[in-house]
Amino acid sequence: MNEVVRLLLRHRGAQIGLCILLTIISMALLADVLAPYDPYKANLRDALKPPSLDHPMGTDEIGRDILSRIMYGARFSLFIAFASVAMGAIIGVSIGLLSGYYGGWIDYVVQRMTDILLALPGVVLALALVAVLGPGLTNLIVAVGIGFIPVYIRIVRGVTLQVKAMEYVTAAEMLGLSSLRVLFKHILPNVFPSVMVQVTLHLGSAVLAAAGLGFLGLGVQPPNPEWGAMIGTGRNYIFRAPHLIIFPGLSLFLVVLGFNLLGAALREVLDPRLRRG
Amino acid sequence: MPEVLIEGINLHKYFPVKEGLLGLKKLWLKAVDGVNIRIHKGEMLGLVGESGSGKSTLGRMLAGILKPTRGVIRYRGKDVYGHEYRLIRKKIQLIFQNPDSSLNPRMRIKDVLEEAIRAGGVKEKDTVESRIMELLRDVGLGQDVAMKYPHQLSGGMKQRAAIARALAVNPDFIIADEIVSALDVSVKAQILNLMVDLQEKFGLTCLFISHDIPVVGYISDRIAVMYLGKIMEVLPADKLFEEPLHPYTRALLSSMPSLYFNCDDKVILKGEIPSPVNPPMGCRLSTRCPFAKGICRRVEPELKRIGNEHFVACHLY
Amino acid sequence: MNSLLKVNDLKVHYLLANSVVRAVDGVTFDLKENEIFSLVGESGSGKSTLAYAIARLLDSSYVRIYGEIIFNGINLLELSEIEMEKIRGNLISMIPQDSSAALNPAYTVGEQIAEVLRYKKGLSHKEARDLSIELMKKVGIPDAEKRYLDYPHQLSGGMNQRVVIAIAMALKPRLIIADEPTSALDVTVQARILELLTGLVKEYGSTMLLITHDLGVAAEVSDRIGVMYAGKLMEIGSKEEILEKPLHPYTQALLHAVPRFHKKKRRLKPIAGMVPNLSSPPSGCRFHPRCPYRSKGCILQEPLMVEVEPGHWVSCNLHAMEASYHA
Repeated sequence: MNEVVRLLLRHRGAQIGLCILLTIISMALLADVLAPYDPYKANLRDALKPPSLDHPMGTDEIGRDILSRIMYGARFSLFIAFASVAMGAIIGVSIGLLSGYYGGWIDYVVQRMTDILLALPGVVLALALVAVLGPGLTNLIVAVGIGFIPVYIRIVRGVTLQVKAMEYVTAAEMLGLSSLRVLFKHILPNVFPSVMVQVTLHLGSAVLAAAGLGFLGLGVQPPNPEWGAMIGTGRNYIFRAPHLIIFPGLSLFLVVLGFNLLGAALREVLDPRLRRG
Repeated sequence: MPEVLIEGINLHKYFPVKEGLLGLKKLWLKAVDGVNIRIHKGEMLGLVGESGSGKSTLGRMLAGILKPTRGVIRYRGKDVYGHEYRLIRKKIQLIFQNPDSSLNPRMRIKDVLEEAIRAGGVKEKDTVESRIMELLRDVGLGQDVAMKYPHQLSGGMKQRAAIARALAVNPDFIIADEIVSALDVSVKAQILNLMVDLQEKFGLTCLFISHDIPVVGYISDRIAVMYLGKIMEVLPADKLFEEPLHPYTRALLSSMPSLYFNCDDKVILKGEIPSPVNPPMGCRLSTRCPFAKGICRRVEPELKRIGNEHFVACHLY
Repeated sequence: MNSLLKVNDLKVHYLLANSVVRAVDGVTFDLKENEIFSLVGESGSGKSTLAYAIARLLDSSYVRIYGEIIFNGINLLELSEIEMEKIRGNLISMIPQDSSAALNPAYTVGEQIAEVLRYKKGLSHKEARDLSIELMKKVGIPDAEKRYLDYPHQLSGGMNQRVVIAIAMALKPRLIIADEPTSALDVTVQARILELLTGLVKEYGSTMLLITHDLGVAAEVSDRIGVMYAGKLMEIGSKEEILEKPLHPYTQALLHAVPRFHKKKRRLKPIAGMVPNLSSPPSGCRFHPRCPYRSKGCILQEPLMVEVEPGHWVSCNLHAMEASYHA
């Protein structure tokens, strides 16, 4: 583990990605202190003002400071990303482990259900779920998260099958260890690397998915400063006041870039190591 | 007559092989097809055979991790796959061929041993620690190995660690499945000597599975020869080179380079080994045996006692 | 007898990220015409690397080769790839270790033999097919016409190995390099494959360089044997000399470490220690950490290869005083 972290910190892509992410995360955490204005406070007199010293990112259509909204908006994007991926990963990994380890009809049923889930494009699935569940933060997290579950099931099941064939697993079983213990102590640690890579990549997708739904007005509802929703409303002013769209768009771009760089670096660091080990 | 520690009666293991569209036509790979085997307490029984003989499958069945399709395995009289499974399981341990996959690459050797020791019922930290040191000494590994990961050890050292793990639960019966096949010549000798020493020191009963006849001949008390899922001959180790009776045993000895054994009366087998999905009628060797008679192709020979501890399954006798 | 191949002070170094692995580190020997020479060694001895180096099959981006490999008067290391291609198959051919990996699973075995004949000898499709079937019969494949149409996965390991031998021998090369040709096979099949191989080699008047870790196999088929350890040659001699009068402590130790029928239940004498790390090999004689006869000189000075009796060479300080020195 420590070796991985060390190698990661030396990787150029990881360094850039981490910088970006750490900046945005601190921005989100310290928004209360850093934000110059209240993100919800409307001021119609100052509406649609372009970037200036007073408002470095300008104001939106009802005069709210965009910079402050970006800072608080980061909270939404990051929270949704982490929560939905966590949900997808925890459920997916558990099912994958059990399915791969026990095999038999459980495995068969799980695989067929995974096939179905994977056949549905993620965005469409999320849309459908939000339509059924209604808008709102929790529903958004569930809608986005469910799409991730089958990916983890597939990855984890594959690795579980591989590891199960290793003789050290047989040896552990022969010691009379319970199946749960074998799963946790021997199989899970070997599953972990592939899962981590996928998690970092999913985080980027989750941010985009949430923003996409926000853009359509299906996610987090106004007046909350979610970046996708900001782009959605800013659409009407695209020619008059492009800064309404540019800044949330740029922020989204940076966050996803950060996660992707980190994920790619993680995959690189883990892969040749596995070969060398 | 020393007591029989483990006994296999009428053992069969068939694996399904799907054929044809929709997997309708089901064929069976008859890995082990009617084997009776008895291993006495304190002995080292060598199980020798080429690929497809079923020796590894038989080993796994005896180890308690592969349920026979038919037949019973008794350890001290108790059915290994019966209710008292859990109690018996730890008394039988298995050591594998590939040193790279038999140890968890993410665990240090001391963790591997600790897991095994605790599985054997030991609870106190001090006892565990001293037992780890004791086990490392028993298998000839330095105390510094405890902190290492498997990839930091050589093949021979990894095998020693695997042996230590097997010993950690104080088993009565150890099955060694091709444990030296992946090792260099000089290291092979080290591990073989170690096995002999451990067997003497702890009074272990061992089943030594290998395709390498000189190795089996060197280390075993008795030897069983398998071909295509059946036992062809069982004999004391010193008889192997002096008085092999079964044509297959003789063929195996004939094909050894003369450095290991100089064979005067060579037996050469025709053709190739048949598929275990469709073994020949009558004696399994009948399609290739130079001495095959009519009866060999019709009737399967029984394992008959010829001399003291010497059994052969062949119509010539 | 003339020398077909002369290897002079050959070094093969692999360049890794942080170190250099000296897989072969100064090897000199020659191969005569019409002989079978076995190169024996354990893992890490460099024997396989040496074999591939002679056939010039090592990737050059991270490999550095020094020294000379003289074949029929030409230094192979100076040839271009195009020139080398003319030699491979025709004059020098290789039988790799794992036959199933050597054959392309997407083509029938017959096609793979025929392709070599068409490409190298310019035969037509029909001529190549007929000759391929002849070759398959020659290597002992029964029902050759039918087997011609089989794919590698449909044949057993032994049969595949025979196909690989057919491909290697198709053009009657002068030198055949066989890298552990029987390690992956059952013991009864092994004996027959060795017989086949040596029979063909003798029939064609070729020379075979056999790479093996099994002294028994080497003893069975060779005229001469070379023993390698940690990238260097320790001893070269005729089969009888190596087996009955081994001079190098490593050779002696190998013979004692192997179970032989008459040494029943007497302890095998293993060789203490482990094969050294080739990126930082021991000083002086590479074997000294494990040698029961080592002296101070062995730690400091690497022994030269000396000819103790005609044809019997050894690289050991115990014999350093004797006879003439290697040129």
